[in-house]
Amino acid sequence: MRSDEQMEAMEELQAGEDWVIVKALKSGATPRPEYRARLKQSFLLEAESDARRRKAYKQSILGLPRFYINLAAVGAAAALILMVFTHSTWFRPAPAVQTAEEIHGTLLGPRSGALGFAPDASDTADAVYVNCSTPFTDDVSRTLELIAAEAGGAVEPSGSGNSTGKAQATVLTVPSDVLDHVLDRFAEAIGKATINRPIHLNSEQVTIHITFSPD
Amino acid sequence: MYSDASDEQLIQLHLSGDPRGMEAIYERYFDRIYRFAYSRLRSAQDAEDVTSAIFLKLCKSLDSFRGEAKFSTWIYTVANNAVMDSVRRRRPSVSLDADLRIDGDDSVPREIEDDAPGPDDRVADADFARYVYSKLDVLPPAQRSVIELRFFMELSYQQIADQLGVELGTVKSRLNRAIAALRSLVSTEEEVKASAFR
Repeated sequence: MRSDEQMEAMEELQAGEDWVIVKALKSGATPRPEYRARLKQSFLLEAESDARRRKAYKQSILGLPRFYINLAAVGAAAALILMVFTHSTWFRPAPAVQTAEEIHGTLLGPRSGALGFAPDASDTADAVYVNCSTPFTDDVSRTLELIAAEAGGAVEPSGSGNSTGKAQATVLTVPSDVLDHVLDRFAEAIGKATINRPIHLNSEQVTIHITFSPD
Repeated sequence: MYSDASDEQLIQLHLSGDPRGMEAIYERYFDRIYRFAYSRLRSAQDAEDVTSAIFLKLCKSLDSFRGEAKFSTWIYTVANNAVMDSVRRRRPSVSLDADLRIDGDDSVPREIEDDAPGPDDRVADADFARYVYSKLDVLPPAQRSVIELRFFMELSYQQIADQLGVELGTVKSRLNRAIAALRSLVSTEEEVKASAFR
């Protein structure tokens, strides 16, 4: 390939008579020397200022390459944007402290719906349900109190009255280990009765719900 | 000192913080830019204004120079935009070709002083150069562009082809046609003028 100089030389030869035109185009419009000098001075001042600015910009901050500075800036901006959109999660108030009972009730209690739930032995007393056909007369009540007291338990107050012809109920609380003995003694107090009791006892105390229904 | 360095090397020198790169760029491009501006604006004052604006903004404009094109073609685009801005800002002037109107109705042809120089001393005469410049407006835009890029911006044929997006052969043929057209325009007017004085 020809160089520009060679091309220009050929151009001059080929132009022939038109070289006058080419020369006019190339040599015409000569700027004033004083304007050239004045603009050069202003331009060089501008160039020096710009070069200094670029040099300062190019120099790293704290000696780190600009790539890492830019990377950090982009990362900080991204984190800021993320926090704006997720601030409700980041700054949500801490949940109130739950009691052990609440935790059990929520996570493991009957309301949790968990299958195979077995309450802790100390949480709930085992219950025995006794239906009897003898109304709770004063003698019966005294006998039940006596049985409970001898077994180391007590008769809890019941809202039901003891008048004949109405449904009556009373509750005894006795230690688990004497339950069988207590139930045996019920025969002398309330006569024949239907007893529903758990096979295994898990609690230290057993509540005995005794009900009388005239039907 | 940097006369052998390419434009791109000089720009890199400046971008690295050495202002001497721009000094070499100035020496290399000042005449080209001025000639280009003058050819379009046909006024020394306007050409100076545009040239000053281009160079004083050049350093900051470098941020838009990505190095995808040659610096010479990039600065041509910058200069072209600056000239177009100047043309738009110019106040509308009365065309020299327009007839003078007297009393609103009658009109007489405007007498124009023809500054075409004689043929003997035309090469050395700056007036003849300006006269040739004035004929550039007659050329089709495609031919004028080739003239500007070749003789004012001093681009190589290949650079012109790249800038205009045409084949190398197209550049050469356009240039030949443009020069021939200028020669023809100048000759025709000289003949008309000579016959008028016979």
